[in-house]
Parts: sequence; structure tokens; C-alpha cells
Amino acid sequence: MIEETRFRAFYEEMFPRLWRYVHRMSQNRSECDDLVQETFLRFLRTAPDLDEKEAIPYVYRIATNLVRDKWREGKSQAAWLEETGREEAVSPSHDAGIKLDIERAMEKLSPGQRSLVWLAYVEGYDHKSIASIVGVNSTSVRVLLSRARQRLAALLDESDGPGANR
Amino acid sequence: MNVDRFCEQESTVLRAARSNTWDEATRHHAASCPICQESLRVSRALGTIAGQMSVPSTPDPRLIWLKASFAQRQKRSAFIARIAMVAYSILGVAFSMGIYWIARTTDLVPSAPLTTFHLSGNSLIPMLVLGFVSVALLFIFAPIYRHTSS
Ligand SMILES: [Zn+2]
Repeated sequence: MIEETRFRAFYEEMFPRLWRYVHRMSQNRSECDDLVQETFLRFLRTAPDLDEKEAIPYVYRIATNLVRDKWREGKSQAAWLEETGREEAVSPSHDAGIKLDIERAMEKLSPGQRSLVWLAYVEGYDHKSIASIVGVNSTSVRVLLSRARQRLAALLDESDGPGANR
Repeated sequence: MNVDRFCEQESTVLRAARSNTWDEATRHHAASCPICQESLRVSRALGTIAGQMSVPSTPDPRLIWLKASFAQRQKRSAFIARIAMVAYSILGVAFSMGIYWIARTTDLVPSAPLTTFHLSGNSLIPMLVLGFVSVALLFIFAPIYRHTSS
């Protein structure tokens, strides 16, 4: 187990990032706190003394697995990555603000797609790192990420109105 | 929609956008490549919500640390308890063999049925060594076993 002082520094850096990621995937604020705590607990129990470069993707992998296990309960890996999100939650709205439009667009993606776009476009991971986090090969990540990106872009276009492309 | 489209320059363009350090070639590519434009747009949109998400204040990690330490101690104790059980098993076998050997050498059991396990004077030294090891294991593990199983 890593030293307490190192863990504390790592935790303080990672907590907000991980919380955002888990919240974005699970879309459930009440579950999010428990999942993040459990992620760090599992990290401490299972991680050997990793350097920071390895520890960050590792902690994302634990979080991804926890959210996926909670979500799928009998559903397949394909469903996690491909199934679409909640369509009914969204109605195009011009006055709800850009942020809300993006939030709504994200809700329409599957949790797996949300995970992929977040890791790629917010955390800046390459395909290989994402592959190790989500547990599929890099070629699949490339394809799935391309689809998720196109879907999200199309949803953003929809919420912007016809012909819009900021 | 959903025709898989890739651009080999995408990661370079995203990196440039994140650090806001554009070289001329990357800037030119980004301006003319629809895939990279789409990536930039998605990246900016997600950056917007990431920056505006309200994250709860970071809880004290002390509790997580204590929980993990406790779990680790329990795991270690369980491991030691398993070793102690193996040691006790060896000791039990050695003890039985010792009793049997004493019985044979003192003619208390004149016709023991274990014909394949014939002991002679030559087996005295290994038997003593085995007995010594068993007693040593007992001394080493007995206090730990008592401690961990309590
Ligand atoms: Zn491009």
C-alpha cells in the first residue's frame, strides 16, 4: 500500500477529476459519492506502489468497472458501449443555455460512450490508454469513439437548431 | 451517420487546442479538416460542462486510508492463520508418527499393520529432525494463531 502522505496528495488531486468523470458516466449524483469512495478504497487495496503516471489511468479503470458493474446488471459489454441513453429526457430548447444543451446531449449517449468521450476530450487520453481503462482494444476504442463523437456532435447540432455548427 | 471517420492528426490538433500552442501546419489542418473540427467542437463543449460542474468539497481521505489499512491487516492475518493451520497439520502428522515409532521401538505394538512404513534404527535422526521442526513451528506460530483467530 502506498504511504499515507502520498495517497493524500494523490487523492486531493484526483477526487474532483474522478468525481466529475463518475458523475458524468452514472448521471446519478447520489450514487456518485459512494462510487468515488469505493474507487479510492479499491485503489488502496489493490494498487502496488504505482507512480502517478500509472496510478491515474488505474484509478479511472477501477471507477469505470464500478460504474459499469452497477449499471449493467445482466446487460452486455456491447450494451454499455452502444446502447443509447435516455431519449425522453431531452427536448430541444434554445433558451435553456448552452450548458444545459450539452448536458442533455450527453444524457442521450450510453454510459460507455460518455466514458469514452470524457476520457478522450476532457482528460486527453490517447486510444491506447482509454483501451486499458475501459477494457477493450485500441482499434475498438477508435471506432467506438468516432461513433460517440459523431453522435454527440449531431446532438449538439440538433440542440443548436437546423444548420447550426458552432 | 456513424460511418467511422478518423483523422491521424486529431490528437495533435486536440493537444494544440488544450495547450493553446498552434504551429502553422496544425492550425491550417484544423481549419480545413471536418473531423478535427468536429473533435474540437466536442472537446470545447465537454470542457464547458467540465469547468462548470459543481463538485462537492473533497472529503478527508483519512477514513478511506484507515479502512484500507484495516482490510490489509485482516488479509495479512488471514494469510498467517492459513500458514499456522498448515504448520499444525504437519505437527499433527509428525506427532502421530512419533507415537507410532515409540510404540514400535518399545514393542507396545508388536504387529502394527503399516507394513510399508517400516522404521529402523536408521530413521531415528530424520524423525528427531522432524520432531524438532514441528516443535519449532509450534513455538513460532502458536501465539500468532491464537492472536489472529481471536
Ligand atoms: Zn484532421
